[in-house]
Amino acid sequence: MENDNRQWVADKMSFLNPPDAWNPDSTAALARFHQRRPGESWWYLATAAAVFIAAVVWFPAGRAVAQQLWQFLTVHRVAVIRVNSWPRGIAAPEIKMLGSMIPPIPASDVDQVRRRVNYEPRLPHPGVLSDSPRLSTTFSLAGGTIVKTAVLETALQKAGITGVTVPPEWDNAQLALHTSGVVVAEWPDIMLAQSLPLTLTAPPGFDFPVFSAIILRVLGVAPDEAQRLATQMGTAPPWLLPLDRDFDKFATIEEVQLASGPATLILEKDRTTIFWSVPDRVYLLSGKLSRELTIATANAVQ
Amino acid sequence: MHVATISDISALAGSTADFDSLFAANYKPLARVIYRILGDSAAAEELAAEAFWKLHRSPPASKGNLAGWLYRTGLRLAFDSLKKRKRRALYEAKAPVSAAVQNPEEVVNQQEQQARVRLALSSLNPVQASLLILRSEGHSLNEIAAILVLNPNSVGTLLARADAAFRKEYVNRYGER
Repeated sequence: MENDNRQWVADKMSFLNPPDAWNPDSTAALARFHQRRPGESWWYLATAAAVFIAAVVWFPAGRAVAQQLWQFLTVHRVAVIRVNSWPRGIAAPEIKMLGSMIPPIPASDVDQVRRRVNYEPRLPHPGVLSDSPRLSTTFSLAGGTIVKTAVLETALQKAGITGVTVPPEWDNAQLALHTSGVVVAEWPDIMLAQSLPLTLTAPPGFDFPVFSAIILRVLGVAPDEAQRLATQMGTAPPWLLPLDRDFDKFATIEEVQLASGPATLILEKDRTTIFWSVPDRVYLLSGKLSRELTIATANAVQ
Repeated sequence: MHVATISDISALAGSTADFDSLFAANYKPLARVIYRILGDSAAAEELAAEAFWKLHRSPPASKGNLAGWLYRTGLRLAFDSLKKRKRRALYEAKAPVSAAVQNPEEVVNQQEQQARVRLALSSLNPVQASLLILRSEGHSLNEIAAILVLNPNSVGTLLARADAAFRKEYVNRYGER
């Protein structure tokens, strides 16, 4: 019976044989693969671009910073406030990318970039970086989180906060931030990614200031201050992007002043990253240059 | 029959040259396996490349048996894609048929058979479906065990069960023929 089954199944499975004429070309496929892969991993670039998604980035303190930081990279501005850590044992809100991540598509020149993304890409002054950049663009990226009311309630309870009600209609509400098409410019040692300001989507009537205030309260911000910050943020609420808990073992974070305003700089052993926003752009610059050269390059973006 | 060989890649450490070797050795056989599930050459090549992307951007912690990891990823992508195909009739109509098939009646018959086999396969659990697909592509029991991370001594038994499960599923739907 077993052999009979096997032969019977083999006969049926033979209907799925690939056609003889089809011969996948691994050489051509590998070439396409490398075309898709810029000098640095596209995934890193996509991830870097996705930083734009986060209106709040959570970095445990660097060695040079005594406390943990919540960095607020809002739609239009960067601000840093100091808060406690998210309560232990409670899952912190988690940002996930939405939809398919399509790797950056190479572009031949700035004109092609402009046509694709419908805005004027800004690059450092000529002469600041020696070579012309390799340009590519991505489609709009989106990232978000699903609100879990039970988690928020537990976090409030764990933080010892009473008298705060989490609206039950928030449960499973999806909050998402969207970039425009992202322009990625790569030089041998550094990469600049930029997007138009982020846009926010959420269920109709979702109360962002109240949501922001609850998050801030959980993080130990005093009620009045939490309310003030939440109101100030308006429709650009805090968003949470928990990074590696061991972040402080390999990087430091600081707020620096650029000509265009404040920016956040992350210094790792072999990489410096800076991100900042202006009214009509958000930027991320990352590479192997020193802290000073990275700041100088960011200041040269025009 | 094409028989794919699992490259010995346990020593690969992620360099470009190693990655290219891995790609060259496994892209085509992986695309063929995926084709069996989807019946669409373009989708098969796309998903095979996608499996390599996943390896490139999120490599597994262990560098041993990367080819097995690729196959498992490719199989999962293919079965997920198969389940998402709602308009199966249209999809099957796009599947090419053997060059040996001569007349329209045979074409229709072969497409119908392909659809039936794929539908029955998609009803099995993923491991059973993968076992049958890999065997039909000519992989040995040891290779199948390595790809699916199974005990080599149990693969024969699992295949026999998969045969029985497939036949039962198929016959329940369409009869013996």
